[in-house]
Amino acid sequence: MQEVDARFNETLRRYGDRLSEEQRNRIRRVLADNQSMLAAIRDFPLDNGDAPATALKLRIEKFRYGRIMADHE
Amino acid sequence: MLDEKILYLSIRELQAHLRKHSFSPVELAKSYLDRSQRIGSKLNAYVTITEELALEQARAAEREILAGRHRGPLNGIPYALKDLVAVKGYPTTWGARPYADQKLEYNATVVEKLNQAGAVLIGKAAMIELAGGLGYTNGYASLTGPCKNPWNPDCWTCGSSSGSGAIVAAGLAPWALGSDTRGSIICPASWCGVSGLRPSFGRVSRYGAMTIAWSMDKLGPMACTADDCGVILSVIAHDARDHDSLQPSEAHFRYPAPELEPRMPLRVGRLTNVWNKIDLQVQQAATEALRVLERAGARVSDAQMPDGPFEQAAELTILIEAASAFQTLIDSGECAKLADPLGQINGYASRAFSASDYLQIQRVRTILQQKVDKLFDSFDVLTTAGQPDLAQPLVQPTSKTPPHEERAEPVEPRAPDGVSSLCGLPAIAVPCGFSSNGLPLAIQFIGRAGNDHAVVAAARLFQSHSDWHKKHPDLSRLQHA
Repeated sequence: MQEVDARFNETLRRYGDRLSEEQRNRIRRVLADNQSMLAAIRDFPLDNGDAPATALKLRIEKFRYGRIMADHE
Repeated sequence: MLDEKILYLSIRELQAHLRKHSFSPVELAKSYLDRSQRIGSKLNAYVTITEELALEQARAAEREILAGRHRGPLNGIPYALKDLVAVKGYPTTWGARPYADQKLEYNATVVEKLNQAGAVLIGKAAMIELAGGLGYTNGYASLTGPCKNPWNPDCWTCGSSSGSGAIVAAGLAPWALGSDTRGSIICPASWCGVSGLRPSFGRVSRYGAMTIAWSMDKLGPMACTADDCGVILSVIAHDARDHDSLQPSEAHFRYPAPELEPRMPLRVGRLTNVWNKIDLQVQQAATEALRVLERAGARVSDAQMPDGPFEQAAELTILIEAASAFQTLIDSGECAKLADPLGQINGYASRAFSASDYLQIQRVRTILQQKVDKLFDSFDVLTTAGQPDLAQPLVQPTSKTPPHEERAEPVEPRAPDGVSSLCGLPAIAVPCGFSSNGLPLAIQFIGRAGNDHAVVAAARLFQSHSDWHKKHPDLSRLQHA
């Protein structure tokens, strides 16, 4: 929860003056939900060389005779 | 005005009538315009009706057809366009109050392609504000009010392509363009009982369309039949100008193209592990739809979506990319003008993500993409219900949970919309039945990245052995309201 608190405080520092109490509470809940999704990502095992899909590359294989054929075929 | 039965004909049928001069493009456009004006406003289906442009384009098509010149399958065929796509001379509101007066003085690439094809723009379809880019909680999150489901106006159409779904279902236009970042075509197609195709990522240019998430946004057609979706995609596909477009050799979508379609028997993978919970009627309809496919010669067997945080990666990618896409709106405080309380504040929370969060998500995404791709070594298409539930009422029963105790729904890590959107896969939803209270039910087919032909072929096979797509709502309740 420390990370949620840190992000909440930073959000209030930047935008707090335009937020009602109800909106602040809601942001706190949203940040907690986001953190729980991030935890699922951080639990996923990665190796050093696993590259990001920062430009999504589709895995398109060759089509032959109406069937999808792997590149090595 | 032309009879309602004609206005629900498929694009191929309408085109055949136009070529036979059974009626003219102008008669056709006027009939859809009249219907759109009478019924569209009762459904909150349109932001703008482009009558002047429609009649100008219809007259041009009429002249050409009379002269024996045929531009192709959409020549003289009316359509509607989700209001996140730029059309020169008309407002492009993105469905949101901060952009209510926005005019983009150019045409999106997809509009240019449709203009060249001789299509006739009837109007700009209502949508969820910013296509849900900053979050929303219900159908009221729209500049034009909640879009009502033609099958039951007390129910929602789903979003964010709300108007596009309602317009096709109510026969206000034979097809409409929607957009899909994570389910915004598949869900309204399912709840409105129409066919909705989300093409592979990069298949259709997004130049001139509002961005939510660069790595996930797609434009695609919603129409009466899967075949119509294929016809439309063949016209709007391919443009090399977007930096993330498919390569030209891959981006064209020739249709029909029997040599590119899966050979029979079609290998269908029935996904058994994608929903936390699913409505029994939806489940039964999807099961029966697979029996129809089996009788039509498909080979159906169980498939398991691989484990992994697909939904989380999809949701987080959208939140972070949207925080960047709408940074000006967020930092200016103008997001306070959005209708939905979540949309008003969600951008602030999303600005708290770090660059390393984003890169971590995208590293996981690469591996998830590879895992899903392997499934298609065994199957031409994967299938499950279009949505796990029925169209929801516009007015939800009041929650007894105090707002400060509100919690998000449990995440469904393998929800099909999240998986397929994260990985850029094509999908199509088509109607496969009705609930006991008359709401549409749908099945969806998901294909390998780039294999849009497979999903269209699967849906077309189903529709050639069923007639759910030929059912239309009784709008008399609306017309007399």
